[in-house]
Amino acid sequence: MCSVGSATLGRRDRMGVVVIDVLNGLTYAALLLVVAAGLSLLFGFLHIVNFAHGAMYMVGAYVAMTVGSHTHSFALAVLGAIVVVGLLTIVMKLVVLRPLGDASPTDYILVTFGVLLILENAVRVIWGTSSFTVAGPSSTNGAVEIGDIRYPVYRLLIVGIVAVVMGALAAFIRFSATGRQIRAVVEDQEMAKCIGINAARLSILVLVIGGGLAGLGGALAGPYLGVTPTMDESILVDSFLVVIVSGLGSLGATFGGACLVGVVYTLGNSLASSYSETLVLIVVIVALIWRPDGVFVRRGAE
Amino acid sequence: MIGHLSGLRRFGPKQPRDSSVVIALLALVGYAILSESRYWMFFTGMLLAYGLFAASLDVLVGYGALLAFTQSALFGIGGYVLVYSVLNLHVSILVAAAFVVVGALALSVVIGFAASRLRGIQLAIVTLCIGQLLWNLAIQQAGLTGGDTGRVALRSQLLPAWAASPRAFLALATAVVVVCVYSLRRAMGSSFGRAFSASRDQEGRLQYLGFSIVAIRVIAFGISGIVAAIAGCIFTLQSQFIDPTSMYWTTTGIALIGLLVGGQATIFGGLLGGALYVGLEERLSNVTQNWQIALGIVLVLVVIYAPEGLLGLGRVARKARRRFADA
Repeated sequence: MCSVGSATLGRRDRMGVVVIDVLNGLTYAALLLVVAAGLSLLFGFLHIVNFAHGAMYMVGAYVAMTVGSHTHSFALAVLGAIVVVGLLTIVMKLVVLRPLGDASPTDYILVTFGVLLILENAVRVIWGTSSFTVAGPSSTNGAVEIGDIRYPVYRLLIVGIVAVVMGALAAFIRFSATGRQIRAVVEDQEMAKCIGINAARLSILVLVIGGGLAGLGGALAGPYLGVTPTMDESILVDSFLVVIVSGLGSLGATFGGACLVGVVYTLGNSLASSYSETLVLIVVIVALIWRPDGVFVRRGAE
Repeated sequence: MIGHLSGLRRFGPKQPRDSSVVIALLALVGYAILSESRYWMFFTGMLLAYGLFAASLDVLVGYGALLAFTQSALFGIGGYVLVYSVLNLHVSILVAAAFVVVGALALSVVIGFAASRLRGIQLAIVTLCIGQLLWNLAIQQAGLTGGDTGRVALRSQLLPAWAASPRAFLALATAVVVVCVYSLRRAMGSSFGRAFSASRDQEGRLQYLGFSIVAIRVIAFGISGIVAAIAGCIFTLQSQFIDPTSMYWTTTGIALIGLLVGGQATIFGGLLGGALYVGLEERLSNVTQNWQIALGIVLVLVVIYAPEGLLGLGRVARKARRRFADA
């Protein structure tokens, strides 16, 4: 897990600290939501726990950094990350997942763990092992004043972009014909195939969306948390926490889970910083023993 | 508590006999001891520690299809308990070893209970969380563990003088590993092992016959946890150093790769795969820093094309030869 630094304080009053904690929590939650939504989508559709998802996010961050430093355009950097990681997931599908066929979930975990090792080390070969700080778009360098406190614009930009993207994704899955087909496959794959839905073709689309979300997350995380060769492991564990707390395979639930983990994490950070990670893990473990299918899943719903 | 085990005695597949792995390892140990090379003795000790660790994971993953990422936490905690009891509590090494066994048993029974309602992927993720929690605690409790920087644990301070030399320690470690591996084989071949494998394949039917799945799984977690902690002790005594890295979930990931390449549900496969992993790391990391790319590729290829691992390949070849001889 990575540390989420607290923003600069205008006036150090108690209320301001709480507001900043909540804002920090929301920022981290937004990042987690993008990454965890990809994981959750892949799980719901393909029943795959993608251990390489964190590595995809890391590749996204590095690609965005490189594109950004050449073009000086944040939009192009984000777009480049999404495209490259989206293509990577197609390669993973064709080279690794398709030959595996209908193996057990454990085999998929192992095989994506192999992809994780390959990507993680490929990143070290290409970009080296040092950490980088990345500048956000120049228009978001400052801080915005909300009442008494000042908060970095870039973090609010993250929340805004994530809100738009997740809104669009939810609308796509809810209202479009393709989205309906995706939901049908998630509900009952056999039946969906029987009524003529091409699940194999849809699975490529879902993989690209999942990969694109990971790439987007990485690109957004660069100026916020820095670009480091171990950033994949921390985000992977955190987004697993989100997905498992919220219950696998539902976007709405993932939203609840991301907010819970993000806010608990940053609140813990300001209350007792060295124990914030422990606090999150305890919350998650208790939640799971209380409701093994996920806290934000409707009881009785499959 | 579990059910009528005696009824299971003669059912289920026979365990494959691939003792060639043990013979090869013993030959390596013999070579290392005779060569008097400190490098070979160190290297062989590491092979044994990781091999035993992967074999302990095989109990859960191979026989039970329980992917438990807490295994590396037990590996690390075994080493920490040993070092802490001898250096801080000043007890004898035998008492410390008893602490290790009791501690590992207690912890893995707790984990087993906490995880007993979960299967497959959820189990993997929950144990990943519990493992990360323990890893965090190990970093924060710097007074006990030395925190991030780790702790030097010289063999001469931990073991009695007769066992501290590289050669004597290697002989001792080999004996411990052989005893552990054969105990695991016996346990998994016993009626309990059959019941445990059945809980992987036919959970519902086993319950129908009056067996308690929870009890069977908790006992399996206990057995596997004790062996993992023992492997951690050998690792710590061999490297004479311990830090939280060995508790991180990727240590389990590494053992998992070894196990898979070696062959699941054989115990020997874990031993072979864990040892092969250390061997590859030792040989390849001199050539390139990013040798784990090769590891990832091997892992992907094995999962897709040789799901029974190297020992499985050996079995296929033997069967083919026999068929050829019959014809």
